[in-house]
Amino acid sequence: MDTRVEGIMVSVSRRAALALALVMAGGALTRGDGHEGLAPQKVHLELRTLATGVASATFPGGARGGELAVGDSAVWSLIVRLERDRQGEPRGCRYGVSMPSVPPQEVPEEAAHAWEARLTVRSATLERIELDVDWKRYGRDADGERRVVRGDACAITLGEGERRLLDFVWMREAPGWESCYDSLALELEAKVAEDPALADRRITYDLWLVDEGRGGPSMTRRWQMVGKQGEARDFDFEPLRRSIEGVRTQALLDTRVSGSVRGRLQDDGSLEVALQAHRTDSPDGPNWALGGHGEKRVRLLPGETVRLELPAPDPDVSHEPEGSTLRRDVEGGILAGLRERTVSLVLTSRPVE
Amino acid sequence: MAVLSALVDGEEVNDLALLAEALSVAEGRDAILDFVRLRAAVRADQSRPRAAFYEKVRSVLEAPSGRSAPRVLRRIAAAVVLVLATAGLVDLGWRLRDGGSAEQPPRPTRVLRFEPGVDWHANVR
Repeated sequence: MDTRVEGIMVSVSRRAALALALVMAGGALTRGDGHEGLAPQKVHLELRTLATGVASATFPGGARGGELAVGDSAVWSLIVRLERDRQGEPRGCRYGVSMPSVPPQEVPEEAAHAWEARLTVRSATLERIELDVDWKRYGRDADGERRVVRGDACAITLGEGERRLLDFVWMREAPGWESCYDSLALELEAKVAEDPALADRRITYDLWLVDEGRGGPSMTRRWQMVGKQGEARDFDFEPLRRSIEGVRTQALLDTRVSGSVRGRLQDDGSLEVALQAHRTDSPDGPNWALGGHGEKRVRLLPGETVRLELPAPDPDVSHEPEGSTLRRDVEGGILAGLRERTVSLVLTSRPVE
Repeated sequence: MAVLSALVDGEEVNDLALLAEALSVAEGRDAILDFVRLRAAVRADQSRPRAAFYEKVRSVLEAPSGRSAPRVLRRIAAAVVLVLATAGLVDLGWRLRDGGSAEQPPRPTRVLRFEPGVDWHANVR
C-alpha cells in the first residue's frame, strides 16, 4: 500500500515538474514584452526657442544643449532680445538668444523674455526618455525686479528624437517685435547620446511580414534594410490581399503593415531593438478601415529571430448605424474570419562586421 | 562578402544597400581586389593532369562492350523517372498555389504578442 501511494506521489510530482517546465518554456518564448531590462543610456537634451515670422514659417532660434546621464540635472537659461545698433535702434528683425552659464537673477532691460528650465533625467533606455521638467518664463517688473510670468513642473516621457513644446508667447503687441514676429515658443528635444566607441556601427534588419491561418494559403512579404547605430529605419509593406470567409458571405480584405525599427549594439555584443508597428485592415473599397499600433522593445542575440504577432481588429459595433458596411461585415462574420488568421512580423537583426 | 563575391562573379545583386555598405569600408574594397587577384591567378594556371590520369578515367567511363541492361530493367528505370517527374510537377503546383510560400522567413526563437489595450492601441476610425 505504501509503495503504491509512493508511486502515485512520484508520478504526480513528475507531472507537476513537467507542467512547470512547460509553463517556464512558454514564458521564455513569450518574454520580451517591453519590460525587459534595457541598458540605461546617456541623453542629449536641447532647449531651444522657435520664432514664427509675421508672414513666414517657424524657424528654430538659439538653443542650449548638453549630455546628461540618468539622475543628472541641469539648469539652463535662454534670454531673447531684439538686436540693436549703437544708437539703440532695432536692427531690422534680427533677434538674439543669450545663454548664460549661470542663471541670472535679473532680467535684462532689453530682453523680451527670459526662460529658465531645470531638467532632470529620471530614466533613459531605448526609445524611452523620462524627464522631470521645471520651467519658468520671467519678465521685468516696473521697478526692474524679476517676476515669474508663467511656468510649470511636469514629468514627461519622450521617444528618441521627439520634441515637446513647453511655452508659447504671442508677440503681436510686443513693442519692436510686432512688425516682425507673430510668436515665440520654447521647446525641448531629447535624443540618446551615442557611445563614441559604437557610434559608427551598422545593423542589418531582415524583416518579414507573414499572414497565415485558417481559410487560405500563407503569404509573405520581405523588407531588408541597414541602419546606423541608434538610427530609426522605416518599413512599409505591400498590402496583403486575400478573400476572407464569413458565415454566409466572403470579402476581399487588405492588410497594410508599416512602422519603424531602431537598434543599438551593446558592449556585450547583444542588440537592443525597438519595433513600432502599424496595422490597418480594410475591405476592397472605401467602406471602413480599422487600425492599431504598438511598440515592443527587446534585447536580442546577434542573428536571433523574433516574431511579433499583430492583433486583428475586434471592433465594438453596437453604436454603428444599422446597415453600415462595418456592422454588416462584423455580423456577417468577416471580422471573425479575419481573426482566424495571424499576421506577424518576423525580425532577424545582426551587426555589420 | 557574399554580395561582393556575387558582384565579381557577374551575378545579380538585389540588395544595393548592402552592396553600398560593403563598398564603403576598406575591408570590402580589399576583398574585391582579393577576388580579382584569385580569378587572375586561376586563369593563369597552365597545369594539367598527367596522361596516366586520363587513361584511368577513360577506362572507367567506357561502357563494357557486349553487355547491355535487360529490357525490363530499362523499363523500370523509365517508370521511376516518370514517377519522380510527376511528383516534382505536383509539388511545384502546390507551391504555386500557395502564393509563393516557398520563400519562408527563418524560424523564430521567441514569439511576442501585442496585448490590445496594454501595448497595442486601436486607431480612432
